[in-house]
Amino acid sequence: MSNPTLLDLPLELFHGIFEHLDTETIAISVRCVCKKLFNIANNYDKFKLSLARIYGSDLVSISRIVEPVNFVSLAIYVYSDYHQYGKINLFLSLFKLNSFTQLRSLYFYSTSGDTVELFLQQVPLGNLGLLSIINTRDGILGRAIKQTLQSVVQFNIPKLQIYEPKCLERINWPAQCPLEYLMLADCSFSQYRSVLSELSNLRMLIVDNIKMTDKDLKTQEEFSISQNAAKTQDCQHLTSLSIVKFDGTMEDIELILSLTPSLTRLRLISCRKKFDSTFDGSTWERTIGSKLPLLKNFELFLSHEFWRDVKFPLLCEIIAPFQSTFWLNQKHCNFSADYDLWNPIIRLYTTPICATNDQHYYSSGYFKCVLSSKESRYSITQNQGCSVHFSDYSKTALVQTITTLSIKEIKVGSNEMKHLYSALEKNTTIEDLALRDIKLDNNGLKSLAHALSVNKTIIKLNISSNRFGDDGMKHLAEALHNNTTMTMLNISYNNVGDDGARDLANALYNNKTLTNLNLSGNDITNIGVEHLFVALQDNSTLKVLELGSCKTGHKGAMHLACLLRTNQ
Amino acid sequence: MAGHKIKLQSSDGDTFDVEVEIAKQSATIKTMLEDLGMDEEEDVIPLPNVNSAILKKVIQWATHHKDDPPPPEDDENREKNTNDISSWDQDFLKVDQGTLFELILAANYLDIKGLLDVTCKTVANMIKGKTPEEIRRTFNIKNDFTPQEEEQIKKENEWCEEK
Repeated sequence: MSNPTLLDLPLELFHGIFEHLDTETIAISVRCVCKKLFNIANNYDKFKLSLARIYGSDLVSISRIVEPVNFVSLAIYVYSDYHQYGKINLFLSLFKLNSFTQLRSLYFYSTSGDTVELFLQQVPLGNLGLLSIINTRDGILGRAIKQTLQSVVQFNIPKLQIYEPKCLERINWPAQCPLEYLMLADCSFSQYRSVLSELSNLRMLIVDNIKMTDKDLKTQEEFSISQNAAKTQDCQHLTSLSIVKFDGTMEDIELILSLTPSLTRLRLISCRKKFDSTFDGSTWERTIGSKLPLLKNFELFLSHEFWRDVKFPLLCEIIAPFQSTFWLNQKHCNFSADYDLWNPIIRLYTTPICATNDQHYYSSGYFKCVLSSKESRYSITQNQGCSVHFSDYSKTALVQTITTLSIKEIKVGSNEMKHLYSALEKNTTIEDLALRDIKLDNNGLKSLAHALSVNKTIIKLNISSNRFGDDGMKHLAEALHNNTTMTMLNISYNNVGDDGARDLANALYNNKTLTNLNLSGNDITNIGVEHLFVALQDNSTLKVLELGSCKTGHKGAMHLACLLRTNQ
Repeated sequence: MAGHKIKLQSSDGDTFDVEVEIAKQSATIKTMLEDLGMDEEEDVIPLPNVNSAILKKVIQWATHHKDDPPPPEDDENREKNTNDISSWDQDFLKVDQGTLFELILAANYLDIKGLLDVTCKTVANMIKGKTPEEIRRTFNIKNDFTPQEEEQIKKENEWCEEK
């Protein structure tokens, strides 16, 4: 079929698309487009209704268009304001709770215990696969906890999210609990242990944090000694564990993992206060090697903010232990480490990255320097995910270096750029540097010039479209005075006038390395060209000089033409 | 077996050499290979429903995603989040509508869940927040309701606006 349109898709694909749309979009917009979509929407039976953002008027419409049996998902939201409760009351007046017979998932967000209880008592829960109750403040659910657990057992609900701080304190897990999946907020180590021992069907557990107390450590030690065989307390049924806001130590992790040798999947996300052994690949290798023999899927995300005066650990030093056969060949785990070029934050994570939904990890900085364990190469990437430039990777695996850095059209403060310049002073690998259209100002140029006077590796420099003028050119010229490495220089579109041309000419007087110089789009007239001409007279290396769109007249052009002819 | 390749043939007769592991992201091809024992290197798998241009795109997508872990179980119940399309996929899917729908059809035929999911999400994003008229314009759909039918539908919505 050539050039198919939306209406050419078969029915099952419409259902695939509808899966990503809310009820109001399907019932009120899509349904009214044309006859075909009208019929498809009318026969659709997997509607998901969320009270989060829906208008009351839309809710009324929906109540007359969609039969309750066609809903598979219902989400009740309350943002602790009157209107939201008004919306729940409106919902209750429009729909009969006992007619939602096909619900597979039921969500409550910040909903009072009374409302939760009402729903759980009246909605037929026979098909329910997931019950989710999310509250960020403790105590909202109150005595509805009891009803919740009762429903789970009565209707054999396999998945439960009961996310409310401290609610575990009031939970007594029922015997014969059918739960296979459980999501919790924080829990203590002893609560974690009782979850493992009392929920015998549990396969997957997601917690914010497992808090360890000194007492836990001590009792665990005693326990192990008294049993004299850790095996007796092992949980053999849990296969997947996620700790998404972990704040304990590596020792805590070892203790937690020692309870669950059956794990095949482990996910750990942690914002570290210290740069500690959680960043150490060989410690992880030992821990996982000894405690989790069955582990197939390991996801790790660690971040740590340094104080500015503390030395960065090198990315290659962090990544090296993760390049062992254990990680690359046995576990097929690929790790990356990065740091922000502007903020002293270092991150270590398995790829594909697992912490995508947490803004915290993405909010800071513009550029990241990334090193991956599998590819052994650095790359510089921009925050938004689109890459600024990837390094030309020299195949020798040991040379892990950035050789190209290209930044353009980004508004960064000169303060932030300073970090980059000071890094450039020490850098011995970047050969190709491009800082185009980034509003380099006088101060910025001063710092850059200083870096350039020390740096001995940059061969290509492109600082076009910054409009820094003659003052800026002065600083740059000083840096170029003694430079013997640069071969290509692009200063186009920078409002450089004749004074700037003179300064540049002076700097290039004895230059024997520059082969390409681009001065296009500047304000250089014949006078400036004259200066350049004098300086370059004995020059035999310069091959290309670009002066397009300058204010140079015929005479200036002739001068230069003669000069360069000899250099071909 | 890394690096072992098979040949895929598009509807217009071009063949593409593809690593087995990459091709197996398509459940259709995987079944063919396993059930029919078509793992000899000389064998060519014909894909009469996919043209060269689209097959090329599909292979490009599958190559980029070859190391993706299988989607974890617990994600199935997470609220479907249409904003979580990776930037690579977003760039990959910056194509004209014809190509997008051809990709959906190909992903469906080849049974590549990840590609089907991300293409459907993309179309869903094109629909979200639009009025019926805007959807018609976006997808070039003709309003084929009779005036009576339209009146009927309008009524449904008018009633609620009185509130």
